[in-house]
Amino acid sequence: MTIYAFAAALFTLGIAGMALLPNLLRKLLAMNVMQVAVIVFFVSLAFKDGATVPILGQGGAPRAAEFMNPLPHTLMLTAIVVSVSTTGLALGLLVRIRSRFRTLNEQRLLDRLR
Amino acid sequence: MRDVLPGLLVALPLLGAALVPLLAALSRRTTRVPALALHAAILAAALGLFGSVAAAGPIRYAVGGWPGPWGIELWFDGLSTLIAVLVAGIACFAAFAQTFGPGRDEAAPASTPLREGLLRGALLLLVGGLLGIVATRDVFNLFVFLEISSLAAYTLVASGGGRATVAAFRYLLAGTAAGSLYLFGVGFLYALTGTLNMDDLAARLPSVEADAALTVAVVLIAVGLSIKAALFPLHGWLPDTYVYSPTPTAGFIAAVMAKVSAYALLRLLGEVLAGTAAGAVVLDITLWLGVAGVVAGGILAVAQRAITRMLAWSSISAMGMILIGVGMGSALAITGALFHMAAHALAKGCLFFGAGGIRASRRGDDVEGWAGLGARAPWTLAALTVAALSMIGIPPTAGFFSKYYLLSASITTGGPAGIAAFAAIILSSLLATVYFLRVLEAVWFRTPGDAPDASGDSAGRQPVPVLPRPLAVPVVALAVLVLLTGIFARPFERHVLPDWESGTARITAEAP
Amino acid sequence: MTEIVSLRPLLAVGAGLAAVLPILLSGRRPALREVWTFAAGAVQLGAAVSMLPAAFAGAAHVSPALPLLPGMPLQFRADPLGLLFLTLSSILWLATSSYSLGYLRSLGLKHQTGYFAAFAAAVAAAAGVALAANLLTFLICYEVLTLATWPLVVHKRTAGVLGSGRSYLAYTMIAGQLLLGAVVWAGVLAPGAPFTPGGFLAGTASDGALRVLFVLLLVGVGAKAAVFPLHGWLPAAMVAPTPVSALLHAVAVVKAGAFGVLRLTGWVFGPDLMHDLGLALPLAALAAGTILMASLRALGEDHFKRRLAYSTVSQLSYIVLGGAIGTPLALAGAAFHIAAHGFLKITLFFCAGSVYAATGREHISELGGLGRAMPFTFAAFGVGALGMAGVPLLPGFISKWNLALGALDDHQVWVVALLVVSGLLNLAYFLPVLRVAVFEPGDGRRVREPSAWLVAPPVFAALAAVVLGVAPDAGARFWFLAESAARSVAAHAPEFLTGGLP
Repeated sequence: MTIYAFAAALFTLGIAGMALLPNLLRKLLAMNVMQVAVIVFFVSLAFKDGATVPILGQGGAPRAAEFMNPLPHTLMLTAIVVSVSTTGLALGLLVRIRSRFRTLNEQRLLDRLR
Repeated sequence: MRDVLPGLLVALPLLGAALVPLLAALSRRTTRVPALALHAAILAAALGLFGSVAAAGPIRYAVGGWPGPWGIELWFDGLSTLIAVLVAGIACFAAFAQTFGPGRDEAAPASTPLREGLLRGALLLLVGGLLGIVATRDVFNLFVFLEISSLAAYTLVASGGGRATVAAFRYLLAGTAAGSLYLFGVGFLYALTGTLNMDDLAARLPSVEADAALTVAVVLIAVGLSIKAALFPLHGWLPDTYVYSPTPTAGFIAAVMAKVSAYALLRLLGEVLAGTAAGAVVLDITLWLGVAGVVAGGILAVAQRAITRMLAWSSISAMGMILIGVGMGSALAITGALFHMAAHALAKGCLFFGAGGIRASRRGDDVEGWAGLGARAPWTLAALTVAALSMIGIPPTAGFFSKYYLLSASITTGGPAGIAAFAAIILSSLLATVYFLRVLEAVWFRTPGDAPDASGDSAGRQPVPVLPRPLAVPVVALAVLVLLTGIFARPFERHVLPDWESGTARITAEAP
Repeated sequence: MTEIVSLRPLLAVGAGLAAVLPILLSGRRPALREVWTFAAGAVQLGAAVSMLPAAFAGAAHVSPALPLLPGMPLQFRADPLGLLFLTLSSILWLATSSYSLGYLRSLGLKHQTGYFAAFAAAVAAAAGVALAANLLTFLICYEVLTLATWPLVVHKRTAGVLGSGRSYLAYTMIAGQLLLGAVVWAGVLAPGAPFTPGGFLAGTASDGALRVLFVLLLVGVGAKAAVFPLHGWLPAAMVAPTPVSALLHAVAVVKAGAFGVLRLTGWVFGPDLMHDLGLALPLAALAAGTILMASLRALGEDHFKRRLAYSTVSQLSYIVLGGAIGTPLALAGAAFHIAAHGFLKITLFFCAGSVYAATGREHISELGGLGRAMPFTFAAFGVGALGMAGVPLLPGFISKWNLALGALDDHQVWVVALLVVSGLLNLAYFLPVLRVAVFEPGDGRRVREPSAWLVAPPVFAALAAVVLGVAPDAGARFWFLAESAARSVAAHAPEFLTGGLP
């Protein structure tokens, strides 16, 4: 249960950072925190007491109860790929923004846009 | 054909998105022919599916031969094929405008075959992502397609350079937050039911105890998709994104992007989560927020001076209208919502292509700059007029019929929500009358002498065309579609509605 | 009533619509452009006349239905009331077209291509309103009419004129949206119901809901009919060129509103339900108030066309009044007044336009001496003025006489008094025009009758009015059409409302 609360707190922290921080780079870091929170949540879903990694040993039929659920982990592999590409794109955009407007402060940028 | 088309519809654009830039990089030549051919093929596949579903019923397609609930399934019924046709069709116009149009604002870097190829790839990727959302029957797969389409959209928006990069970054933040909220919700659903397949979820959820976890799941999913669908008050990303995008992108995303998310919301809330108590409450809230969005979007559209920004706020109003329909949930209301998706996609695509093109030909983006344009370019401006009348809801354009359905649905729904929806729809038409007729008055009845003409004709230069031909073609074609959709509304509705009814009936029947 | 499925109603509605594009495309060749206008007018009139024999025999031409919405097709039906309005507007469209030619040329107005195109679209929409078989079709044509008239109102393109156009749109678009809401509501209560003599809404909802629906529908059609307090746009819209004011504000647009009120009272609610809900008397009182208020405003108005506009506001409320009373004779009188007022008012507007074209004068106080200089024009004006006041042997008398008889059938004696008073007011605001023109001296400038294009139409309209007054059942048999429309409604009304008709 604690781990879920931790994930939720992390997620909230990330969202709050995205909304409140003034600098676009910091917003991006907060966004990463938020994404990691979801990954933590999924990975902890798969956890079972006393179970082991879902790799089939030699001999004997596999018994589900002995293994952790592999599906959330594989889902998170995809989610991490998504997260990495989003971050990469965002960093690229930040480079462009910085070279064009000489600032990453959101308020100053918005003033420029008017 | 029924066996091949479903896979082809999603695979074609995704493969194309990889191949077109590759081709551009290797050959160093323009890739316009393969890109346009791909878009045409995608549209043909979508139309083929629409016809096949209309003739022989819905199609379930197991990706890689793995049936549900273990494998990922694609599901095509009247509803999804309709949206697919809409996406693929408007993508063709966007690709046409992207290929031949000016599209490049002063801030964008110079064009090279590679850059063009990359942008064409991004558009194909966006189409593939949207078609994936439309088709998939798997909630996690939906997240992946949501992110694919979003990444492509951020790229396309940012390609405008300058202000567009800032708009794209802010869009990225909002979009990623939406995606993560959705994924978080999916995690809860998976923890509760152990499945990711929509049919399986719909069958298992009624037996899940209604506890806090389920409520959290429903709320997270609804909020995530509502951000994407620009449901008031989660619409913050929309105006800047639409206004600063390059014209072909703006025309495309304004037409279909938010609507596909509204479609996903409809699938999940109206179909999969409909049986849960939290789902019903969230649908009610959606309805009321839709009412608020319709009114707020309309009022703010009236307050704008820049035409593209006015169109963006009018989109928020229209999304509110669609979500009113989703929220009411009756067959009549869903028909209205779908019809409004189609009507608004066609009309708003037309208007954004037109307004963006007129802005790019340096006539400015405010009402004054449009004064007297009707006399200079009667055909294109007549087309834009048809689209504007559809936005207001003047018969016999498509917008009239969607409003008729939604008004009927709000009367049959009744109660405070029904009355509020009814009043909001009428009010939004009046507000649209104010902000669109203001423009039409300038276009047709005022002379450009009223305002300084920025095009520089008087300085002896060659007159700049009001709207470059590559944009005029989509504008006129979309306006014709707006009229035809209106007049031939009834057959269209017949194809879509029964599938929805049988779809919900199927799910209720499977539920224990 | 026997129904004949045919394409003639579509032809009548489509003629004007089909002419819009050719007119726009032949803008560089005015002669060809006007050929399109007259051809469309002739086709529309031909279609209308070809449907008359069936109506005389008690049958109606009905177009095939195009399904648009669940249970709600787009359909046109040439019932007696619709045919009356259609025939009237076809005849007057042709007259106005020839008048427009002379008027626009003699004043050298710009944008003539757009003018004729919008005119054709507006007349087609009015024809659609006339023949609409159900509320949905009515609504569609009604909204098209609103927008097609807008370019005509703002034809002069100046800032002030655009402002008047906005005022016109503000009234009609708000009313149009309320009408949309009401039509949807009625469509939910009685899915797919066509206009039915005697109404189709009885028993579909609670009394309170039906009253609200009635008010919504009434506001929807009443704004165009310029019923008080929704009349503000009409005098403002007099900034339009005179032929526009003549045909559209006297015959097509405002008349479409009054026609809509008749459809509403006779064919949607029905006299029976109106009485049950207690709606008849308030509506009659509203009409009476409008008649008196507008007549008084007309007395104090010196601007020639605006005085005519107030007269229109007042005269159209006779039609509303007849619809509200709902007895057969009252309905027949009201329906006949559509035609009577059409011929008379178009005569008056043509005269005002001729005066403006010949002298540039727009105010009644400036008319001195013109009576002798323009004898044909002012003779025609005299016929129109006396007809409006209800002098016997002119058509206004027939409608008012039957209105009075119909009101007495319902024991509404006050209506007779109202008719007498308003007739006197009519004389009070029209006779001074003649007095100034004939007896007051001119300012010495030489004035002559304008070209024959401008003289013939008012004389024709005045003569037609005289014929209609002397022999109301000749030719197109307007009286027969009005009476059979009223009779069809009465056939479904209860006993106490059916007195009067033999």
